[in-house]
Amino acid sequence: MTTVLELVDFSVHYHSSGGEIRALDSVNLKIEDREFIALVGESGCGKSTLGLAAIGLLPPRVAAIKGGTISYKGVNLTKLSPNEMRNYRGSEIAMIFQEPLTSLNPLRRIGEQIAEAVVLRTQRENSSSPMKGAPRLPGRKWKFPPELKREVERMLTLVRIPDPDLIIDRYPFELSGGMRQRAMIAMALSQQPELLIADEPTTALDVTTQAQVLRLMKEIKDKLGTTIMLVTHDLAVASQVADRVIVMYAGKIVEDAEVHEIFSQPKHPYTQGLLSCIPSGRRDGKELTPIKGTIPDLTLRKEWCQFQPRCPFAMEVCSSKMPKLKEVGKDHKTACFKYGE
Amino acid sequence: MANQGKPTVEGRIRGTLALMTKNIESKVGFCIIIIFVVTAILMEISALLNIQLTPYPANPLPNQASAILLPPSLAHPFGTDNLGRDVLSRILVATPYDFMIGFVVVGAAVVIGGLLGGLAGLRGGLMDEFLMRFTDVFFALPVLLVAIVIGAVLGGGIVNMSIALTITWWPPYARLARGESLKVAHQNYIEAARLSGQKPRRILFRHVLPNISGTMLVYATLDIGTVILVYSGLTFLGLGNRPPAPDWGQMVAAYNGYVLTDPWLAIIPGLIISLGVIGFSLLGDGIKDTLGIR
Amino acid sequence: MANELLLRTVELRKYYTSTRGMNPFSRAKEKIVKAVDGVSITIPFGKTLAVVGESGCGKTTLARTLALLTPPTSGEIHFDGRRIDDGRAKDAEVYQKLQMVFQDPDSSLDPRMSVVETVAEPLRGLTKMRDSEVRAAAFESIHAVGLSDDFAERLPKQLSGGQKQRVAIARALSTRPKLVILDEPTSALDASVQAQILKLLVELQKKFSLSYMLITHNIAVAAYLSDLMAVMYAGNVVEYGPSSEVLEKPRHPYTIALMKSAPTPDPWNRTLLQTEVTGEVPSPINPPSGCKFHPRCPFAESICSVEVPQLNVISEGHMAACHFVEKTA
Repeated sequence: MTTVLELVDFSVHYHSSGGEIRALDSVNLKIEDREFIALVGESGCGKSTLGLAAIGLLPPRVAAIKGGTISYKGVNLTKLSPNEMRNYRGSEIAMIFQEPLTSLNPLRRIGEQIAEAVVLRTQRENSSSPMKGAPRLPGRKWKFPPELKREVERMLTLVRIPDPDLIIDRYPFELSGGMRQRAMIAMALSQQPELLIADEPTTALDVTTQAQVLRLMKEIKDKLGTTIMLVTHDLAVASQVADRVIVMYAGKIVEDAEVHEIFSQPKHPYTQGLLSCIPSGRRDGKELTPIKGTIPDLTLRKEWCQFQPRCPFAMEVCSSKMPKLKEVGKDHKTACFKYGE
Repeated sequence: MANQGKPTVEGRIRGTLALMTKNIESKVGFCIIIIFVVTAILMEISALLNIQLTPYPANPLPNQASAILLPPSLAHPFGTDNLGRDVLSRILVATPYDFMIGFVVVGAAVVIGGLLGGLAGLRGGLMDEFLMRFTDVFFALPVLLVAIVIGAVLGGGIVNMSIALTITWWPPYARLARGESLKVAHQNYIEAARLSGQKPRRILFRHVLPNISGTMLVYATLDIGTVILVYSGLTFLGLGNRPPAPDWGQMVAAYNGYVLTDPWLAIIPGLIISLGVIGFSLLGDGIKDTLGIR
Repeated sequence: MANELLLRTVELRKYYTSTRGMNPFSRAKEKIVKAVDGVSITIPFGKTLAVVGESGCGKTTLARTLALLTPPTSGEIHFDGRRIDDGRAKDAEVYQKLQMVFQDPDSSLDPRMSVVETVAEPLRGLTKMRDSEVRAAAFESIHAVGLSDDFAERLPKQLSGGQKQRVAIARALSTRPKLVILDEPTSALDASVQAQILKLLVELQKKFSLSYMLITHNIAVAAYLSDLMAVMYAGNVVEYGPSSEVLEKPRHPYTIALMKSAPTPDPWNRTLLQTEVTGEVPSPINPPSGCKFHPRCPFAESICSVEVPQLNVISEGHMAACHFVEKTA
């Protein structure tokens, strides 16, 4: 098992008018080959920041890496220049976003956008360049060379888009939300990346469409061997597709365990709180217990447990020291003083 | 609890003042404008009470005049003109007209445009179409043409020119109000107001107009300077206050020829106009930044 | 026999026509959007009906039509003993007993009105109470949703999403209505805040004997709050019955697919990965003929593309609109 992505004491701060926000605070994480990881947390916990950092897309003037490293297959990404990072982006590490309309160029047809990605890959593999004839103005159709067209149709079929030969000539606004999301996945996969980061890809989709897209992602992992990092706020979604679940709170990882472990033996009080927040039929007898309090203000520097004010098990040590991630079971880590210091 | 939860006049004024002075830009602009406004008020009072507050009379009789074409000095900070009149005094006396016309015209434009546009955006449909086509008619009228026509029919002077300017000035405000009102009309709190039994008229005044006022205020403050500029153009052409009543634009016109020999005469009235416009620009820009409007 | 019905609709329809613009000579064909296409539902006193479905199914249009925010195209709405769709009932009379909470907490509140002003608005518009009475009632509602006195003068920008939603609920409750329509009340909120609001809604229902009509795409939330469930697809109710029945023993092929697709926090039972439904929700302008679900239905036969299925009774109070309900038993 090779390590695809590793974060060691990684910290990112955002500058804002209200102060400096500790978006990620000394995060430690290891993702192995062919894993399907779900990064779960509520808004502001830092999960999206982690995804953006891994692909080198942190907003340049606002975000700053304050320490630690992110390594992709042993290569320290934080030390790379923007040009060097570009070599990895798309071809090794790809990302898909929540709103496909903003990542697909609304002025260009679907086929062209996927073809661009395919061509980039062939350019890497051998230096021939079949990009000629690509129209510069929107509206005109690109006549694809036959091998390129076949490859684009193959990618569209891979993501189960029906009638790929028709879809190639469509514009993004002519497709439904689910189809657009699949087109974006096709684009991301065209360069055959090792790691696919998906930032809330199904939040804006209908329930049945979400199921289709998630099934597709699982298929991609199984058939192509792609490592997938799914960022989501929905623990239930994570339970249905992930191999491993990582729970984040206020910029820190609070629990990291295999999916069945998390649901049968949640260790961190926040994870337990999240689980008991999930509504289900009242007839179940399962009570819905909200977590009291609110998400903390990330501009205030605190050197003790961020969850302490809301924690039903808080002890004295919790307000004086910061808990670190440690093993509490087989492949099960958590950052909580309940399990020793 | 003391107040009933309804916004008080005092609270509103305080809020608006705070809004206008939040950042450095708007503070500077605000100061400039306050100076002009205070001057205008003082000059108007002095004219009504027939007291002379200026260092020299603006329209002196020949024997009261000083020497002609004196350059700026301690006695005459802006010098004297070709008839020996103190330029500073003339500028001061013209302030109530030339500066305040901006407020009058834009104020009227905001009210007319705001009501029509706000109603159009809220009601939509035929009412919207009708009001907007009505606005288009006025949009098509060129300022200069209307001013000349009214000048020919009713004569020149500040009152008639105010009317002429207002007629052509309100359409952009109606468009702006309509656009903002459309945005507001789709908000859930408007539907909630309907569910609370509010009649459309009350919704317009209670919910729509207050929420579009921010953008309107920004646009208006940036616009007042333009009115001052346009009016000075009209007086330059002879449509404004008739001489010997002093008037900034008229001064620019009259002193034009002296630019090579007595440059202060030609430059200073223009500078004062620019200063007024800059003051409003700064204030408007500052408010825009404070409110975060693009 | 059953509880008395607070709300009852009969073949309610809401069609939108896309206009040709102002040009009387335009030859563009008028397209008809059948947003709600014959819906008959009931809500008993003190109970919650959840209307679930995906985008374009018509649930939001149904809610807005029931709230008289848009006039129905045809059909009947009976509320608290009288018909309210024929234009004869005055809005003010209806709204004293029927209120609505909207999805987006940010656009639900007028940014320039304080909390107490917002909550008092229905009282001022729908009742003849004196100012002091209005204020007292508003404060009662504010307390009822768990907010303290010092929230009263705050503006929306000083409130969090959950607090804004509480204010919206307080406003809806201020006239002590009998029915509150909740349009995706927690979709925009974080998980822990959502749980707080859901618990609050249950409390308030008991305290004030309310009926709820819950519009949502989130099956878990519907399961928690509702006694009855109606599943909508492309403008029609395809399944209807007690929530426990519809959730655990769905009989309409669409409901089955929907329940399987809804993510449950159960990694040992990954139903989401087992769903087979393909295709997309149909366009409301050109829906499929006969049963609108037939192009995507694994059980479809020739009659399904011809005849629109009626709601067939499966058991006491449980109905599904399918020609072949026996196939899904």
